Amino acid sequence: MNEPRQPTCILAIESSCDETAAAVVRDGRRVASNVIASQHELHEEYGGVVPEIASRAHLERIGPIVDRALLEAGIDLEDLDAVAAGVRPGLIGSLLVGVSFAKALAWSRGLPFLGVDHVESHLLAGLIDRPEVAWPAVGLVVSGGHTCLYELSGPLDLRLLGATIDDAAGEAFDKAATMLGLPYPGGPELDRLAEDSGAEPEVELPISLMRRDSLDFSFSGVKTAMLYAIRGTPRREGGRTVFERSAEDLAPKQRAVLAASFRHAVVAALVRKTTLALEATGARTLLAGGGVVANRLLRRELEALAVARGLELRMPAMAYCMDNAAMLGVTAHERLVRGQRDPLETTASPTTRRGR
Amino acid sequence: MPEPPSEPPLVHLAIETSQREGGIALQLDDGRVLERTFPCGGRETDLLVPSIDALVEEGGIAPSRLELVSVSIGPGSFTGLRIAVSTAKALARGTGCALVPVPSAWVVAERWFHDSGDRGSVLVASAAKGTACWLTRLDRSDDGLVQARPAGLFTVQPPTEEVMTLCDGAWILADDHAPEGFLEACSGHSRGHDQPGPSARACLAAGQQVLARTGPVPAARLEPLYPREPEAVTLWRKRHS
Repeated sequence: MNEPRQPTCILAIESSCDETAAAVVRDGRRVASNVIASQHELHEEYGGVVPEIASRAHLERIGPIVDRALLEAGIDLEDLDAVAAGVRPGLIGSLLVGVSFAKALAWSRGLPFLGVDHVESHLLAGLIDRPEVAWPAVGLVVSGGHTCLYELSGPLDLRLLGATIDDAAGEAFDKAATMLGLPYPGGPELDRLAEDSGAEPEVELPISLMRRDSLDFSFSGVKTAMLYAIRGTPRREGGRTVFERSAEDLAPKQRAVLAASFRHAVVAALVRKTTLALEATGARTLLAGGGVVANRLLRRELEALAVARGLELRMPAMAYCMDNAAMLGVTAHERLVRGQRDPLETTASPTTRRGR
Repeated sequence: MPEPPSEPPLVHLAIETSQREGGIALQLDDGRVLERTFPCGGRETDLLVPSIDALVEEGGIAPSRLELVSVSIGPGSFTGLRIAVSTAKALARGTGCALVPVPSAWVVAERWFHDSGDRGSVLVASAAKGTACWLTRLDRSDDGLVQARPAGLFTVQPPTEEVMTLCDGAWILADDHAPEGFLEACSGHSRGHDQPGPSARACLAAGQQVLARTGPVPAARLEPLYPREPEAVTLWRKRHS
């Protein structure tokens, strides 16, 4: 039976990468507003996020985004119980904008400030607008910047089980999409091409499992294999690396098959490691979060895994898969109702602090 | 006829974080000015809001009493300016105070004129990179600082004729990052050179002048003064040109 939740109203601010976002979250589970200003149009030309451009854009947008979040929630500052911000991990220049804004706003209104971990908050996005989950759980975070597995004995009690040792899965998807000549941000485009074409994963790409008992991930090998599959075997010519062909030489069907094959290899690695984590922990619930959870093959595979193991699966609604502030509000609520506060000296950090 | 009673000064906070040592100054409505300095841009801790908290408490006022916040907007340390501008925007949202952007060259000049007692001109050289600097020429009049020409990026080594004109009869305030040879090349035109030293108290004074002349800006228009496009963009253009 679900216990009644302690009523809270929290303004949360997210600025860890290239989305400026603010949300008002009531009672830790109900999203009264969730405003996200993506900067994709600013970074598209460069094929990736340019940190200095991102920081400048956050500074321009943060005020209007917070105003809109309050307006859409139908509240004003006096209705708030706390102000929260994602303090780690992320681009330091970007994080500082949100953290500074949140601290100053909290101080000026005499409200508590809470700094929360962006990656860990991805896991709690699956709790939004839903009943409580059964603990313990295994948590899988898969995004453009992070690929991690956690064991959770409660919403704030996490233990890191494994993480990528090189590229994040989302980063690998984006890079593979760039190799295929797909527009930025490429991960969702690659998924769309693989899904909509109905292509089979006919090209055998390596599924990286590291050591059999390891819960770490590695995606650099499959990325290199994808490059060779697209452009052929490289050779040295006059001090330069030359490939047999370019992505433009691929027929549409070949392109779709390669997209499907890459998606299959990455998703297979994610699902196998998650299965291993579930076996090792005896978890009753699987929580999944992060932008890559929007990938349709991954969603289907995780659903199948949960059914096969008789687990409850919690994946966020699509709106809460990408970077957003609502998930930060959920974490902040859990901390606030436990009496936790952060000092005004709190600053941003590019890395997460949780070790194994 | 008795003079009408003068208006009490605004409760005015100034934030200067364009260099490694940050500072804040708070002018209270009884005319007292309180000041604090702190290391800026550290990785482990950020002391701007805690310093504001301590200064406001020392002044015995509530945050809601803030009426005006002046911010030194650079050019200067990206991290320091970003923290200051974001903080100031939130203070405006939280307290309803007005915001005044103060170019950091004004802060430097205000402090230099105050400390030196000089009444002439200064050329503030900042944001040095390669052979170029951001130059701001300011003259001291009875009404305060006067900037007759727009500030901008100039090639200073070798100095162009325009740069020589800007140097003419002025003290050059340039830090150790100024392009080598620039100060020597200008020595025949300038009155000498000195190190720039901004302070929050000078930001307070400069902020009052900016407020009197141009008024406050909406929070959306408070931004750091960026002398150049992001370096990654410049490199990208070079690579793809």
